[in-house]
Amino acid sequence: VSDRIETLVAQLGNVEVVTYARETECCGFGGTFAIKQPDISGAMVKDKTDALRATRATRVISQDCGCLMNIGGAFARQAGRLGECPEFQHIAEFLWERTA
Amino acid sequence: MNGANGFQRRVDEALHNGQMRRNFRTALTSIQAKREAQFSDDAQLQALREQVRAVRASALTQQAELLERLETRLTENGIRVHWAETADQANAIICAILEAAGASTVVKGKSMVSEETGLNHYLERRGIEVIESDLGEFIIQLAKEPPSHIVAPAIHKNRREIAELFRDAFPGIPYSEDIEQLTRNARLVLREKFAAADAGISGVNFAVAESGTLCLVENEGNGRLTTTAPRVHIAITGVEKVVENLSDVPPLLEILTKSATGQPLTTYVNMISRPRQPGELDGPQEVHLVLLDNGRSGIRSDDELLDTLLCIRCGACINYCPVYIQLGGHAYGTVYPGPIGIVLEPQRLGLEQAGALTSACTLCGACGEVCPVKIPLPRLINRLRAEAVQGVRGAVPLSGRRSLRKAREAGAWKLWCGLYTRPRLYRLFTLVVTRLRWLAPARLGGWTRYRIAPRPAERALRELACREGFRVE
Repeated sequence: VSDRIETLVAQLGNVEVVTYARETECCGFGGTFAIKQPDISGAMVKDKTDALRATRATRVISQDCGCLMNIGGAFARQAGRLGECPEFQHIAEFLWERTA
Repeated sequence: MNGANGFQRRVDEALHNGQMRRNFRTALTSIQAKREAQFSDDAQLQALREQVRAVRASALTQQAELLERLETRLTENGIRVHWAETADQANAIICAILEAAGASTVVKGKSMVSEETGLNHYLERRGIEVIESDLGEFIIQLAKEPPSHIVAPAIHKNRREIAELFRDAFPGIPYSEDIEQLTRNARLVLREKFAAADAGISGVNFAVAESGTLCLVENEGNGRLTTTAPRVHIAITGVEKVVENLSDVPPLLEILTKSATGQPLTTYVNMISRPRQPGELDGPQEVHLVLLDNGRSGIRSDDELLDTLLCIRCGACINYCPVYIQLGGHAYGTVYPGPIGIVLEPQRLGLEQAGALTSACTLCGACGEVCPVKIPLPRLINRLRAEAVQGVRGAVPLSGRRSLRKAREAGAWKLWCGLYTRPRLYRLFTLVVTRLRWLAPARLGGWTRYRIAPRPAERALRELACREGFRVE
């Protein structure tokens, strides 16, 4: 569904969808994986935040709550050290906010 | 060799090796791009996957009969067939063939099955010199390391590291970091070895039953030389590599090489069907095939896990695994790394030994999507996880079943299950959690090493929906 969400969001006004490196690569959450293999998971989410940060996007939208918690949590932890933290939103929240 | 502690130690080492991680990222990004360029038409790819899966599945179903036919045809063609149940038996058979032929120097083409059996060490301990002739294998033999990838064994090394290895091993050759020059230097060393070798040992990609043909793909010509220049050629392969017809080979080769290296075809395709005939000028006088089981027949007894044996060893699952990309192959500590290793090795070695590998997966699904023979790798990894902690009812018991069970973890899941299957209790739970959100801990073990701790929302989604006037059952 990720490509359909991209198409949908791109059709909205005032939205510029930016792509980033290795979009389809897993962010490293994986449920208990993040607890059982915290260091591998940490390395994976670091690559993900680096790739997202390079786009300078102000908002990150996803349809997966696990990814959001993982990537958003990592961004927040790195904030200050590595620069601004974009806003993280579930696609439903984002659309709700725009229609409300 | 393995076990959970050994695995965690190697994970730690791998994650701290920045140079190696950069090497993997660079190499795998490039391999992924090459593969994708070959499969630009998704409909065509999916049709080819279906076709190839059917070919492999049919060969597995008829395996016993096909192996018999293969033996008959090979024998008629003058190739001697040997059966090995275990790795040690395979090594002993090969050693006996070499001794009978008076062979003391052997050149080898790439063979993961010979890695399984530890053939090089076995022969070296018995005074036989073994030289790996595949460039990647040649490099790691100099470095005294095992392969870190099943197709590209030296993928973890960059050219400077390789240049330094060559400098130490061949002081007579001028130092160079130029890839072409390094390759030329290796060729120089290897040509002499090919000319002097008494025997050649190779792997096999597919063994064709109807014609008695051994099919071997490679890019460097080292496979051609290994199987034709010395007077004895010994091929070794797993019993699952048998396919029925010659007409099965073209689609298999197409999807193998495109998936593995992003090539429409490899530079060399060897179809070996007999030893040198009277009046012919070249080719080995003796050709042998060693067919190895090494635990494969045990995998056959489970309908779901049987899919493991469809594998054609292209390495695509490895190239796309986000965990492998971070760790590289050595961290796994097994012959086969990456998703196929996580599935194959616990079945081969038992769950006590290799079950810890199942934790090195996020179940992201990338491997299953690229697998050319459609092995449901994520599902099999999940199955083996379940086997490692609780066993799976009705299944043939795997060695080391329940060996990774931890009472605390099992208890936590039981609690979770109880909560999630009782709606009222769950509602009460979310009510308490949202009201007491300020009590949520700020540190959560390994999680907060890299992230902030998640905080429960102020109100549960159900509460918000009710407030907005939605009817919620």
